[in-house]
Amino acid sequence: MNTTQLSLQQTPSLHIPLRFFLTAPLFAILAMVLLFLKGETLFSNRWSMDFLAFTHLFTIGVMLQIMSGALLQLLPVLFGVILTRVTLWSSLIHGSLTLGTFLLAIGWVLDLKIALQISWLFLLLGGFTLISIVTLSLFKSPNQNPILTSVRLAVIALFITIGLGLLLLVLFAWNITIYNPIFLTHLHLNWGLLGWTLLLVVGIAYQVVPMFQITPPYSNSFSRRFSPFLFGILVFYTLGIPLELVLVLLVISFAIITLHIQHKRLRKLPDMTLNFWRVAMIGLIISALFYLTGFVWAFPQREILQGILFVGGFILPVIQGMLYKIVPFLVWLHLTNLQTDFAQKVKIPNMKQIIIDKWQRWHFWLYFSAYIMTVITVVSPHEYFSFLAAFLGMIAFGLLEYNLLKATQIYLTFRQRILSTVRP
Amino acid sequence: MPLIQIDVRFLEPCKPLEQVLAALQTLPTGDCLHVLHRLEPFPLYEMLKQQGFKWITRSISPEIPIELFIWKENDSIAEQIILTL
Repeated sequence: MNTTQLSLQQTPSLHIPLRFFLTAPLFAILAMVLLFLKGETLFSNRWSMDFLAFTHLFTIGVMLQIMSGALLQLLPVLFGVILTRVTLWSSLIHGSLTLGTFLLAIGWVLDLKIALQISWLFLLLGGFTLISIVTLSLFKSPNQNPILTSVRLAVIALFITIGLGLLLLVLFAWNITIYNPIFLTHLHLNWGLLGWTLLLVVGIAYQVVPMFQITPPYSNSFSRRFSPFLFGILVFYTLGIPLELVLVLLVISFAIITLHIQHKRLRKLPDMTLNFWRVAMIGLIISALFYLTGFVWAFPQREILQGILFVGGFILPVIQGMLYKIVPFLVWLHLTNLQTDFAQKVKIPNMKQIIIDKWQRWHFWLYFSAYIMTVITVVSPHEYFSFLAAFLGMIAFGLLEYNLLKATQIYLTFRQRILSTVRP
Repeated sequence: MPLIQIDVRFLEPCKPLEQVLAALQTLPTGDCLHVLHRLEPFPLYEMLKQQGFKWITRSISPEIPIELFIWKENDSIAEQIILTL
């Protein structure tokens, strides 16, 4: 087989994923500022507008931003999927999502309906442009493998999530009352977290865990079945048939299998991404087990804690860990490609030199301290705890931003150096 | 025909690509680089095209998920032999 689908000329420029990656920590810092200002009362009511702003700063501002950037860059680089006019579309997606998320949060925090109404337009534009671009490319791709199946299902789940989210926002922003909006909210949340996010994390894990952590691959029988099975459970849930125990077992199986292959990795080198992912898998197991205790243990903040355990204990560590591999790899790859184009000999820094281990380690500990303090604030509300959680969170995400900016600076410096060798 | 083999299965990114590119710098005409890899190296392919190489990718066993044979574009002797493998 001679595989020639990929053309690096058609691979998006590095500034495309970087603009998404560099924007995301700013939204996380904004969420931490909100926690700092509102204190422990932020977690007193799941339906409060402040808490809605807090959650969406993370789900759209951080998670969707990073995942959009990763998809637009990794689909061509890793799978040979060709995206057309990607610079134009990604600028539109990035701008719309950024403005939409900001206005959504402002609208909720300041109770400004006009901001919510404008945010609706931006989120509609950004969300559906992203879905259209990725869908067209994914379904055009001749490749068939469990990774692409998972990503395809994740994009369908994103379509459902954004559709439901926009519908709920219309109801809220234009004061329309309908029967049972709570059920729609649950559908929006479950398709967003368990559908779009988990399916995408799983799909990307099939590729990046073996590739970057030098582990054996996920077994074929698992990787072929997991995502369609999880998608099926969500369809059943939507039809009013919750298969909660099956869902919990499925989610735990992914975490355990990932921990197992990481334990059997072929080269046992210290690695911060591995630490992020291991803690995330343990976080996923804790989140799933906590869900089960819901049948016997009820308390007012239970749903808020469930969300924080899943997002803060699983999704955010996974995507932050992933960034520490993807960004240095892309910087290195783009520089190497540039060097190949011009056949020059500038010594390019390797991946470990692009984001230094020491700062990744600091970020790791700061992030988990902030996460633990947030959990403590929910369980035992006190303003000191919330201030500490917000303060640690601001530093952690600030450090993430710094690390990503350093990688960008290295890219620009070496790009300039390579180009200057061929210019008169 | 000499087959120069490199095994990059147990190396972390970006070392596999670095080693393949370095080995190609000194690949003599008539020879072929045989790379054992864990994953299909999509980013390498365009670089090979730009640098004037041809390649064949095969998947043979769970132990060697991917193997590549790379030779110079204008090296008809190497190409003939590779295509009969």
